[in-house]
Amino acid sequence: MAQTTRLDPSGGSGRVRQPHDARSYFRLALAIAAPIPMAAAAVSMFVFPFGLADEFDTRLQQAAEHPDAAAAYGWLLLPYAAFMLPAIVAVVVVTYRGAPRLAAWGGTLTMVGTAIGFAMLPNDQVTANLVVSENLDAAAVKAGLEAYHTHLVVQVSVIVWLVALVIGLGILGVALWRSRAVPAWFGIALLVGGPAHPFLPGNVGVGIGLLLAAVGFAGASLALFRMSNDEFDLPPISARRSS
Amino acid sequence: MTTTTPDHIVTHDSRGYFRVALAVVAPLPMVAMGLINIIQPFAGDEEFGATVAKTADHLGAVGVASWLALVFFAFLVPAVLAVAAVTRRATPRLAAWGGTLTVVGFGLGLGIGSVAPQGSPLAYITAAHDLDVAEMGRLNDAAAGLPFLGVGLLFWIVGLTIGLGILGVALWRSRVVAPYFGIALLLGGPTHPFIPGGHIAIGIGLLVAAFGFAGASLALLRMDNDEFALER
Repeated sequence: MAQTTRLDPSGGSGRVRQPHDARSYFRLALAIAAPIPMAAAAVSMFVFPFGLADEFDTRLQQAAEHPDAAAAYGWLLLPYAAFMLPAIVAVVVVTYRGAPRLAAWGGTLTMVGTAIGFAMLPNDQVTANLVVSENLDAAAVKAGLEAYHTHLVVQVSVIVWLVALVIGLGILGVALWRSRAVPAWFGIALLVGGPAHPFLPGNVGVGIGLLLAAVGFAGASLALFRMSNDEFDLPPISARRSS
Repeated sequence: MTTTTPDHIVTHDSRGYFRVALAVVAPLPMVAMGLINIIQPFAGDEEFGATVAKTADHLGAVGVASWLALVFFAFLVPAVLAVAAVTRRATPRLAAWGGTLTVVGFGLGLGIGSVAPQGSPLAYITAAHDLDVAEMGRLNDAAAGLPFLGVGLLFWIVGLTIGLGILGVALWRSRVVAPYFGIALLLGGPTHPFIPGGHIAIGIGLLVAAFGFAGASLALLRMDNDEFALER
């Protein structure tokens, strides 16, 4: 939207610059981002032969048998990492008025746990792919990974990450459901797909769980597309003249 | 505050929680990373073998730093959201550009930057468990050479230098707090990786950025809930 001017409402003869309104941008950007991470993770499970909970030796074997998949695998992690935190913000923005307590609990647990999980927990499949492609010493790398996981700060990170996935996403699903911002089944999809996907059998099972979670996040997208800017956020204001 | 609609009763207002929570966490990540740089005996860009050797000599300090890193990771994006929240109404374009570059860049930096063991966490494990330094060095180099990891780190650097700089200008121009908070974020955020003088100078740069983030905290604590977000 172009920047505009209007007559000074205070009665002066000057013109006051109307600030740009970025609410449409924020609303649409969150709506577009919301389903992408879980959809990308689901595609990753359908396309690649790598399981979520495979042992490191199995991962090494898979990487050796599927070198092209191993080379492509990391790229699908990019949309997941880029948009997972904005997706959480999208659900919180849609639900904080209709289900305030749930949005606060779910938003806090998922935001903190996801960020810590991202940063503290290496992806064992990427590591196994590296061992095979770069001909590293598999036993030494495996020993390094095992040593890493013995540290308390890493074990705390695993717990916080699982709490975000299982409890945080579940609470956000209930928030979406209870807020009535969209039909209830969007919230139920997030409630079921988010917490359950790590425990579903096989790659297809996990992928379906992630796809369900993506449908739930798409509920936040739908709510954001439907609402006006005035329902979304407070309007812009002119910058204050003094601090 | 109680709000009632015919078919749906909402009895709680979470705006106070979100406002105060963002205010509390906003300066924490840069304080944590500033302290990490000050107490760790190395900068992030040193050769792996040298980092392992220095870590072995200061294992306790690096262990403490690994806990401080949790604070940095947990609250980095919420801190960005805090600045975007206080600036979005008065400097919407800057908040939109700065917020987008930093949130996306930091998500990629956190999620992709650590996707394989490398850097100071790998150096710590190598030193603490007396692992083969040469082999762990090969793993470190191989991880650093992953093309998609390079893309993720590129976005991280864009978020850190351009994104945080724009948010500093947004905080300055929005006039929600005194200009020196925005200037501190503008200076400390983008420039800290390039400050000469080693890890302590970088740490001080990060503490300057933390002061800038504290400007967002001040603005959030000063405003009431109706200035912060819509009620219903």
